[in-house]
Amino acid sequence: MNKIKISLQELVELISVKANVSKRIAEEFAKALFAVIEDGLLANDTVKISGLGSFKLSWNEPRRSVNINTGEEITIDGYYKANFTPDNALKEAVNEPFAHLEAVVLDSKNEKADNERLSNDPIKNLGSQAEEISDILAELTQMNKTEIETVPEVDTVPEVVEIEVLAEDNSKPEEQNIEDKAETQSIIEDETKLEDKSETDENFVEVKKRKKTWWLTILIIFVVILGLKITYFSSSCIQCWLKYDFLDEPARSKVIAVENFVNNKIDNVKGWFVSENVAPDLQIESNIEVEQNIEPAETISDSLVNEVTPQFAPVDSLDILLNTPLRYTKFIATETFRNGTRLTVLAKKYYGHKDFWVYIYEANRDMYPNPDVIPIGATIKIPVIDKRIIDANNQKCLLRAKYLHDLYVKKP
Amino acid sequence: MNHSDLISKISEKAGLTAAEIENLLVATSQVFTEQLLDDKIIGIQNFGNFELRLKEERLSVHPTTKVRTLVPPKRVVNFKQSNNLKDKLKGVLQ
Repeated sequence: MNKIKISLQELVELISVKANVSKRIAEEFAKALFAVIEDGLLANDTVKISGLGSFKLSWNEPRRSVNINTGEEITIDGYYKANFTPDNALKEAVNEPFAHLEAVVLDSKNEKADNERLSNDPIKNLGSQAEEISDILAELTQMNKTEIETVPEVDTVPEVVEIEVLAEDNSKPEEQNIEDKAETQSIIEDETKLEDKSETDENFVEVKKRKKTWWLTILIIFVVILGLKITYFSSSCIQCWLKYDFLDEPARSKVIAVENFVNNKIDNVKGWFVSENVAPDLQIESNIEVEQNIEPAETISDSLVNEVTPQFAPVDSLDILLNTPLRYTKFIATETFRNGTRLTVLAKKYYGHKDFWVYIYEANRDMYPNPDVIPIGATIKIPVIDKRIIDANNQKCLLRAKYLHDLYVKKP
Repeated sequence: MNHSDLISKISEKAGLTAAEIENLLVATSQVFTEQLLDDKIIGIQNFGNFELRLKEERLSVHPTTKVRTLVPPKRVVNFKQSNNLKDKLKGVLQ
């Protein structure tokens, strides 16, 4: 790869032959030529030689570097550099072997397709958006339909009432006056059923009237009813929370309150059944008539239990615990907010998981309403919290904390 | 500095007529082209080296359109200034 290097002498010879002049003249000329170019460059001038090219100075900026041996930082001064740009004629002549080659645009088909895609993108976006909108609309209409369908089923709430009434009337009088039971029960049943029916009818009519006038309020009511239904029939609590996300805050709190109320009632009912089952055993010996009367009562209670059990089975005590708003009265410790202190870090320290910071925040909400802005030097009280609520291994606890987190962080 | 300026300056220095210089300049450019095409390095002392270099083909991507283009190989004339000239330029122009 070593190229032959020709010196000025050889060049002069070649020039003299070419120009058909004596060597001496050619030499003088060559020397003069390069001297002139040098002078021109030293004067920071562009020297253009037609047919050959132009010489020009270019400024190289000073740059920082490091001495490799000592590691010292050194600055390389800026300097001028002589550049040579060949003339077009020379360039073409030199590049002749490759002149026929042209820049090839690769994978042109793909590129075209890409371009088409790019150009079509907005339209496609519009199309997909339209699809999305239509989907949402379809969902909404479906939801409305189901909601309307649920209206006749409004008696789910009265059902519970009925159960409760029955339970009350079944259990309480049983201890006192069992003979009257069958009669009273049937009467009460009929009465309550009638009442319920009339109630539901009224509700239905009312709802229909409202529907014409206040569509929005009805929607909220329906969502509340749906939420109730789901609290009864859904097996997982996640679904409840998902449902809650649709609601605004007051509605959500209402739902939670209603839910707690219902849960308590269900627990009560359960308790009554237990007591009822115990009571007959005690009374069997004393009264023979009781047996005859109890049997239907038991079957009824069984049927009721069957009805009730699937309802309260998924709602365990933890959910009630989680959903009841906590009151913070006892505190483990107080922490001073320093630079770098985080509620999450405190939560990790005291509760074992960072997600439970929301409870610390809840306890200190009166003093520092914004969890993101807590001044340095603030005293943060660490509340005592039921171990069941801050169980880092329980998915429900984490989900609850997450839910609260979303609630507080999204707040403006 | 344009062509006529160059000629006049060279004529001053070398004591030659403009026509002669014109002729010699054309000859010089021809010799340069020939020698470079002959794959030779033209080395001029205290000035620099002229050399023919091959630029390999490369793949270029347009930054905005992302169009990939295969740029063909080409031959270019490269000039490398001598250290002498470099020092001179450093000393004079700061």
